[in-house]
Amino acid sequence: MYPLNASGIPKVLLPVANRPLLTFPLRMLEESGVADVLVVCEGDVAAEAVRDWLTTEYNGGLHIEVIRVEEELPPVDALRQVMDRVRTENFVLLSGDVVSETSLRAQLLTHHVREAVMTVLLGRRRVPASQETKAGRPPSNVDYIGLADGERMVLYAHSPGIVKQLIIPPSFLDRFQDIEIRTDLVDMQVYVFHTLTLKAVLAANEKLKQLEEQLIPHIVRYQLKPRRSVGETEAATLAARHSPSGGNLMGLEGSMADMSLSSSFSSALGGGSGGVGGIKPEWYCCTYLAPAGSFCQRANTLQGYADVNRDVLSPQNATHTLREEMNPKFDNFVASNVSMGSRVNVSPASMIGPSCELGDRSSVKRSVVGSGCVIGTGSKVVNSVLHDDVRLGPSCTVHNCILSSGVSLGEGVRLRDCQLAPGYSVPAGAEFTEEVLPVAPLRD
Amino acid sequence: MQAIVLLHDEECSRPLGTPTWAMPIGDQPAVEMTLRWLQRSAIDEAGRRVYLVASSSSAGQLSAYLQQAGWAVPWRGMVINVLAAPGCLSEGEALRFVAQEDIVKGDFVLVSGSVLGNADLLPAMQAHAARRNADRQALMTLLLHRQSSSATMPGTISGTCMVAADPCSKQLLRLEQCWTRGTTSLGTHIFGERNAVAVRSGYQLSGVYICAQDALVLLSDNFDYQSIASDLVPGVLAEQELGSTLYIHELARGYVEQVCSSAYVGMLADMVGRWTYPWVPDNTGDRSGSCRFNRGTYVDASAFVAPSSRITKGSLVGRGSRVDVGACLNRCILGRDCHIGESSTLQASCLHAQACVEDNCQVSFALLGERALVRSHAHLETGTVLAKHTVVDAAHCVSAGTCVSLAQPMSAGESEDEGEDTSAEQHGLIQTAAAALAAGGIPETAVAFHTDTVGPFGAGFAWKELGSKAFLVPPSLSTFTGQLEPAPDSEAGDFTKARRVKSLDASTTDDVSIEDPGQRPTDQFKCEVSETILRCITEGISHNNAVIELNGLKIAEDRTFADCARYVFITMLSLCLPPSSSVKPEYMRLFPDAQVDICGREGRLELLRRLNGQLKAWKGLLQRFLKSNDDQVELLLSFEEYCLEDADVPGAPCGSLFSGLFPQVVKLCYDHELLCEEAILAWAREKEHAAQEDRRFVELCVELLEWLDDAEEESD
Repeated sequence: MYPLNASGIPKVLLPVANRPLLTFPLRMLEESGVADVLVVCEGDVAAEAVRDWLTTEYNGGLHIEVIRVEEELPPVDALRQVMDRVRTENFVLLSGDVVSETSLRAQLLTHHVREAVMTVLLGRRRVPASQETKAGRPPSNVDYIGLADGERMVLYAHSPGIVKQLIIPPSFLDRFQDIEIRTDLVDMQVYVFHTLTLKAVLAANEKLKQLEEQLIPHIVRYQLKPRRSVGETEAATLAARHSPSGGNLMGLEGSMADMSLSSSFSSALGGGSGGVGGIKPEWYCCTYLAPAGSFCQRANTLQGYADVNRDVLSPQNATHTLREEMNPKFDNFVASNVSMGSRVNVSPASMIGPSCELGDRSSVKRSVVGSGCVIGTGSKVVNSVLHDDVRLGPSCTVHNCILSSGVSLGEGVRLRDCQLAPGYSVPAGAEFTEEVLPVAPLRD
Repeated sequence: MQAIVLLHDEECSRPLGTPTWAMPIGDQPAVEMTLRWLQRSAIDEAGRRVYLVASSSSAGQLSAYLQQAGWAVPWRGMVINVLAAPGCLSEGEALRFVAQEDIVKGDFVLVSGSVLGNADLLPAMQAHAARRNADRQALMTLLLHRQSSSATMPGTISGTCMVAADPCSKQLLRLEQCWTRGTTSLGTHIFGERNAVAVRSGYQLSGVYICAQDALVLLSDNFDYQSIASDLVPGVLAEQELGSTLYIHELARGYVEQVCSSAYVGMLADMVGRWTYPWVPDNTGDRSGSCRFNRGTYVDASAFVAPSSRITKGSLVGRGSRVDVGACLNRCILGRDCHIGESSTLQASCLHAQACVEDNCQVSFALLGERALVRSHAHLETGTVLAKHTVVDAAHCVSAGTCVSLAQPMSAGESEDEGEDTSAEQHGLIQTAAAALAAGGIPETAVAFHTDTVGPFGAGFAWKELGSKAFLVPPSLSTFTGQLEPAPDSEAGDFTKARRVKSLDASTTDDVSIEDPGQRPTDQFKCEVSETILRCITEGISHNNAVIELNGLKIAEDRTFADCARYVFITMLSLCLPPSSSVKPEYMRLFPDAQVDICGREGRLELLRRLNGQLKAWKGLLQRFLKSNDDQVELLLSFEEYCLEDADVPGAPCGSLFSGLFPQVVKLCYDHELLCEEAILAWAREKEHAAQEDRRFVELCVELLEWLDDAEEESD
């Protein structure tokens, strides 16, 4: 997320519609009946920041604990470290950057009913991959998701680049005579896992480090032959334990969860996989498809972050994602103590934070403006995200940009498609297009 | 609507002497069924033209039949034309001939002349027409159907194909025919134009295609295309940039099956099971039809069935047939004027017109052609096929899977033309000779029939190496192939117990110092090991102590671990069988009393069950002596020797009993973690360049090896 996090602010505390990103996944968990949450953070700085925020500002009803893991630790290793803390039968693992209005409760129920080992939330792509790809060429950066019976996941391939070939093992073709492989779905990184099974998988497969590149494909791949993943005896034990639990829905309430910075949280209820009636132990990898039209996005890239900010403010999403009523006349959010000059134009689907000053003839369109910002006379802000305390001189134009907190622009600055780090200042009269400022330090 | 019906002679029908389109389905030849189906599914009443393309040799026969069956005159607006194509054999050639004749204009339905079906073609044709209106490049619609009930027996998945198609437009993207179990990789370039691809397995090509006229042009342009499914379809898919597109249509319900090697007898069973309604024996459309359906069996009114005979559900006794006292028919299909003698037992067999089985015969899973004759007390083993006019002599036994025909099998050196030359003169000769033999006389000119196959007074030549091309009667699974593998769908469950033993640590060094088995003296050691084991059982000595005892023996005799393992294993094998004479009386009670009959499935199962019990009890001990892969390979080698009753492994009087069960026993050991994948594969590799005789057991294990190979790849 460079340069937005250049000052060390963890991603989950970046503002989305002027509130930390983390509030969205926490609300999702709370509404599903999850009680206990572990927030797994990379490094001391991030852990401290999240802890601070939780004690000072968070007012939800969850019991949240922050756990620090080393920096640059692969996600699955982070998961390994906290698995001991998970004591419920199932738990939710979700990424801290999910902004979703889908019902996690429904996903948990699906998981429970199917006695699945894993249930994955699938969102829909904003733009179908086929529209961005030439005919006869493989699409890039898509999730290939193979579904049998509409909801059982039998194939999973995630790659940021191009996948040339999809491999379908013979046992899958035997078992599932009808597989639909789709590219219009995206893994939203909201997972429900069967705790014991996952523990066994993690213990037996030290090599798994990445979540969507390794762990999820691994579970999907070995669902028909769990013994090849966790070993004969373990597979048998797991199958035996998967006798349908009597607790069913009651489990939902007494649950617990954990979460992490760039991944991870969890909750719980009963469940298990298909060891019914002594049938061969098989894992059921279930999917929960985000209902059409429901809001479900991730702020895991700069683009995604900008999109999320914009989209949560659109009139059709704002009410249920933000739980605030818009100004009914203008379809926007303007804090009460904003001082506005004359002929200021704030378009629909915009948000202006408290204590802002908008100069004469300034205009804000489809943008989020943080608290304490100053927008100079005659400046225009379009399709952008301004964090707190951003100062724009007179006659600036800002298109499609993300300006982190404390950024200041001199008079007549024109920015298009730029991302500015916290505290950066641009001299008067400068023009930038498609820049990251300051330029990212080279990494080895 | 226009239809082109192809009546090509198939390879598989040659020994039988009946072209596939003339194979009787109930009382009618297959082509009759095809024509009725077409007539029923035709859309518009007017202008229906059907072109029957037959090779010139069978065109006359066909025309005669059509005349007799009343198809020759336009009936309900259906006009039938017979095109005699000179010597055409393949689909491609037949269609090129049609294109040359230039008679077919517009879209047409292409179907084989031996299809039995009742599925509704209308939706498929409408979908095709709609696509043609939208896109002139839509070349062809392939009709697929789910694997039907009994026509394809479990285990023979040869017919299924793997299809990748666009779930919305139904455009075909990939077709893998005769798809065998193996990893499938799908190129992702097909996702460039669509967001979803449906991958279907378990569908079969129904052999029905709805084609645009361009398909004929395409076939003429590519004169090397022989078959639609295996040449034209891949060709078009590979050159998608040329623009032609193919589509699939899945028949949701209804029955479609083509007379082909493995399906024929199954199709008859389906017909008797009324899956093919309205084409069932008691609904022939013929007013004089007198077949009655009663309690699951069809018996024609004019047939004679002796009161004390037994006919079970799923049988059909055709017009004028005679079933004598004490005969027993189990799921058998009898054509016209067949005769079953007293006390004969027939199981799941099919008899064409005027076939005759005399008294006290045993016939199971056999196919008897027209006027085939089986004399009294003869025995036809599973999977026998007797072609037209053949004779099996009294009290003779035809071994399983044999195909007997009056046509002489072509020997390797003989070319096609020479065969024709000889047939001209010889054919008549053979026919007369066979007729004379059938009548109970002696032929005037002796013909060198294969008497070892059909008996001294039999008539017929054995066709070997037909393999799967023959009209294989569906084997009653295990009895025929000796396989105890369950149907494929339960495969996963079956193998879940298998877990490979990770016993490779220090011992995987390259020293493959397998002792030469020939140098081992027949010895005391084996007896001592065996006796120790027996004593341990009788006295209830724990495994640990038994290991100490055996180790003591091993050191005293300076033996290897593999030697111990080998003899322990052999002792376990012999414990599954009645005691041999050399066993001491005090250990007699450890052995089972009952001899097992390995000819029957029950017996084999029982033997395996016993061995399973032994392995369960002793695997802990055995594992202690199987220290490395090499030891395990040794074990396999000595098991081979045991099966061959090698003199080197004394006291193995019944080793041959296990030889038929070799793969199953290996599988058992694998399941019990006595043998690991690597060892079994290493054993097979070792035998790779061995002589044919030495490879015998490797070949028995082919399926197991394939599975292991497969599993290993998967685990990678």
